[in-house]
Amino acid sequence: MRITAIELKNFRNYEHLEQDFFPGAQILYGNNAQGKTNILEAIFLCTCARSHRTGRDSELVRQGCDDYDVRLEFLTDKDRSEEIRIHYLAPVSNDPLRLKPIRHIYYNGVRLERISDMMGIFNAVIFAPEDLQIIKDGPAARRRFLDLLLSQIYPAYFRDLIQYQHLLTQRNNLLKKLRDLPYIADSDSDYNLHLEIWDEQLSNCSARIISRRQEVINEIALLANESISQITGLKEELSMRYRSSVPSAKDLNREEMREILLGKLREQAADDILRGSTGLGPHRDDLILSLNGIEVRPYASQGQQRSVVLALKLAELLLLRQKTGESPVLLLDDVMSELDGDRRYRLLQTIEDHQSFLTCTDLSQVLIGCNDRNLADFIEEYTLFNVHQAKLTQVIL
Amino acid sequence: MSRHFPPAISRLISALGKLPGIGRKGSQRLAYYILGQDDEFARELSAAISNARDQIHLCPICCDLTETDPCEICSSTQRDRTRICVVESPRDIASLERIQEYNGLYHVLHGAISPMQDIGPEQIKLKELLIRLQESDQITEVILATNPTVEGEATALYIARLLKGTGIKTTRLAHGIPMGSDLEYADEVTLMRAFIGRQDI
Repeated sequence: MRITAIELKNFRNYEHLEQDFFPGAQILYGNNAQGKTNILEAIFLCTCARSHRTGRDSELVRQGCDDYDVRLEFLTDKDRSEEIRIHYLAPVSNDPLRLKPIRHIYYNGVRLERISDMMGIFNAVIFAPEDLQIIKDGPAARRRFLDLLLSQIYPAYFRDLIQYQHLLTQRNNLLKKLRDLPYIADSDSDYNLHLEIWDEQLSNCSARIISRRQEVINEIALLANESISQITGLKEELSMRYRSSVPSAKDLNREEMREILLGKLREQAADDILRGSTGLGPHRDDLILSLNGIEVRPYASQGQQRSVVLALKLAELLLLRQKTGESPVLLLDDVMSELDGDRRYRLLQTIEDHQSFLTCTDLSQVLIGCNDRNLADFIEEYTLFNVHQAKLTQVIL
Repeated sequence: MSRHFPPAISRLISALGKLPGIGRKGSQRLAYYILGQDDEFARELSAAISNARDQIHLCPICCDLTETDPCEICSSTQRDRTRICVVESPRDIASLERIQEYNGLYHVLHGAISPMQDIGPEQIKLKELLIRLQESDQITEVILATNPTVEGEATALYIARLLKGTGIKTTRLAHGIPMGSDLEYADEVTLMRAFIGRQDI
């Protein structure tokens, strides 16, 4: 798919922007703090209604305004012209009907009832400095990586995630009540009955989430392993393993997994009540990455970590294309400057089949300095845009 | 940015805005519509609301909203008294009655179990159901027609577990694809459940 036009209103530093885009690479260059990344952020927002930089929508609203509007027109690979629009209204304290933030999402002009309905409509993969968090941060960052990928491939997965979160909140609330008001439960069986009605549903939902994660890890591991050697030029072995609350989950089918989870939830109920939260399930699982048999997070060098994260993102891109039959839009946020020649070369190789958006402060970072080859060797069409104080100007060299 | 209404209009707008399905613009439209009509209209509307509030109460047997004691369905001699259909809200009875397939009795829970809203089994009309089942030896089946939400599902499970071993059959409404709709537009969870619950034809 490729973006044909974007319209921003009161988004970040943009008061109003209408801009057409073209096939091939769109290179956005300019000084810092002019609004290059904000364009990429707005585009990425249209994949999953979440910014790659922040979880807070209010930060995306232009200062002094109380709503933003992002509209993206794009063409699918099947040549269908489509449109996604996100309109966010920040809370207004003196308006009793706007005490809570409101977010409306429109697909081809029709309002979608749920965020989950927008999953899989417009797909983009972003390469940004923040990607390193996948490796360096805690398990939550790796789960987010898996969850976003899975949600773009299987919209039902996203619904499962939301339902899981909802069930978990209910169960955790109940656990706290059982802890603080022991009189609710007169006997053991009563105790169990209160929890059981949530555990039944929770274990079902968990099993669906875990088996999907397992499945996608197997597929992405193969692709990432192919990329890693090309990136480093060495014979390297990147392996991925899902560390789950269900032991040896990869050998189990969904029903067996559900039963084990249900049993474990029951077993640990007393601990959970003391803690007031649920100690096991997909919300505690992790993705373990190892390079040549050594775990990446604690032991790999900075350079290796960068290679691994690039391999992961490239694998994400390939898998998304394989599964959806559409080439996602590529967003490269200031990554060229962070990569050395070989890695830059590998990344540029992949962009020829996709529409891509690259940001940089210095044009030479993308145009030259990549194993003595310039961007034109990789891609026939590219358009240059100078970004200056929230204005885009097309530049012809 | 903020709208300035006289305080009385502002109060009316916020009161209407609390109604389900009424948003910001809708409540303004309703408020101005009401104020644009003659005196009689507003008087009748408020009288209708407070009359309904005064005369309608819960049926002592099934907890449905009623003007009579007990309600029409509970006092009918034409209904099948061996089955009770359990629903979350009185509106659900109206929906089920419309299909004219079911001729049994009802029980309204007035909610579903939801710990995050501080609603436990004690906060819904569950005790009333259990007493009803204890006092009657006619009932052979309880149909659990709570909503297909996680709370509705939890509530149905809770009741089913309580009735286990009592000899009363418990059944749950099936999940499926709405008639007249396209498979393409069904959400995946519904589609999956419908697929799992497929039947021989």
